[in-house]
Amino acid sequence: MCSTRSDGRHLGGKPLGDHEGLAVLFEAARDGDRRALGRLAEALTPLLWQVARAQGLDRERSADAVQTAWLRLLGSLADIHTPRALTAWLVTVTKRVAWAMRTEQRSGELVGALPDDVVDPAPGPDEQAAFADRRVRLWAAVNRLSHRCRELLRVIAFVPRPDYADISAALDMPRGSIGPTRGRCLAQLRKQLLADDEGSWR
Amino acid sequence: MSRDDPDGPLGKLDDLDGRVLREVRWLWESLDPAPADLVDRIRFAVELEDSEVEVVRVIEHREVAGVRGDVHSRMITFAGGTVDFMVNVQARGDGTYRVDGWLSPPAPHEVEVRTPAGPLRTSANEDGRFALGRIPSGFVQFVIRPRGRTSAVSTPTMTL
Repeated sequence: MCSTRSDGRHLGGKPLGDHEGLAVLFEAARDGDRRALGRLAEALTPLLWQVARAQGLDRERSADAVQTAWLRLLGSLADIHTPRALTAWLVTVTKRVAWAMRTEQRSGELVGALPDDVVDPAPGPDEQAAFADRRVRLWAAVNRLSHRCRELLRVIAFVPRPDYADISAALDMPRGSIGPTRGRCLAQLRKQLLADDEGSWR
Repeated sequence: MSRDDPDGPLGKLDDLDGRVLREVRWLWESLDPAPADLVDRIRFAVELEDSEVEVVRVIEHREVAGVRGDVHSRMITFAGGTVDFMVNVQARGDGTYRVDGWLSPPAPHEVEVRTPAGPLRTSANEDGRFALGRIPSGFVQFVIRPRGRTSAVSTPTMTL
């Protein structure tokens, strides 16, 4: 998935916050270009997937929740005026749909503090040991965070930088509060990671 | 460290914050990635020509093994605000599927099954029943167009 770990510049695939590209696609999609809408789906679905999963939905329902948000968008595109508003709209709807679906998912199946259907962070057979080890230690540090911090950082990590303010409402955080909350959560995580002698976080 | 991010007094990210967030993103992408075909399913779904779409939820999805072992069927139940429906999808053994459906409340609504090979259309009868004989394997999206309404009722894209 990620082959250039050492320089830290290509983690997680697509660059975050390619707003010019998104803006062009957004305009085309608003003009009825469904292929442009498909390309927007490619860019924003990784974020929406994490939003749905962070609500505790299983994988099948999470996929349906994300699809539902995109289908509902067909009727609302005309009311959305900026790519940032689009991201916030999709996050809000995905979250709302995921909440509604939670009530249909038996409580026993709800994913708790630790999703039990994520893959094991242990190394895969073809994986370089250093990357796997780094992931195991990062996973351990993330799991020592509070539930709220873990879920916030999980979603925020997929949000392009300029969208933070717009996304705060979508995450039920008043504007002006997501910054401090995120700051506290990040500070907790950094402290854990920097205390980790084995790691190379600096 | 300056703290002048407009979204909060402590909101300014430094380089290490940015790196940590990228690592967190990488962690979740590797531990809990979106299904590989999700974007393709969404792309297929949004090519729907309708603009007002009510999306039904999958309430139940049962797989039934046939008596002879070679026949495999699925019973899928969908619920929405306008119409609920159930489909029984049966493999025909030649790579295509037969679909029998029931709408509730029963009404002779138009039914479209979108497939990568193009849409298949039929109409439910007065009892809300419909059937389509040869649906190719691959993506499928059920779309009901209730009489007298402008919005369509659609399922998410599924794979047969």
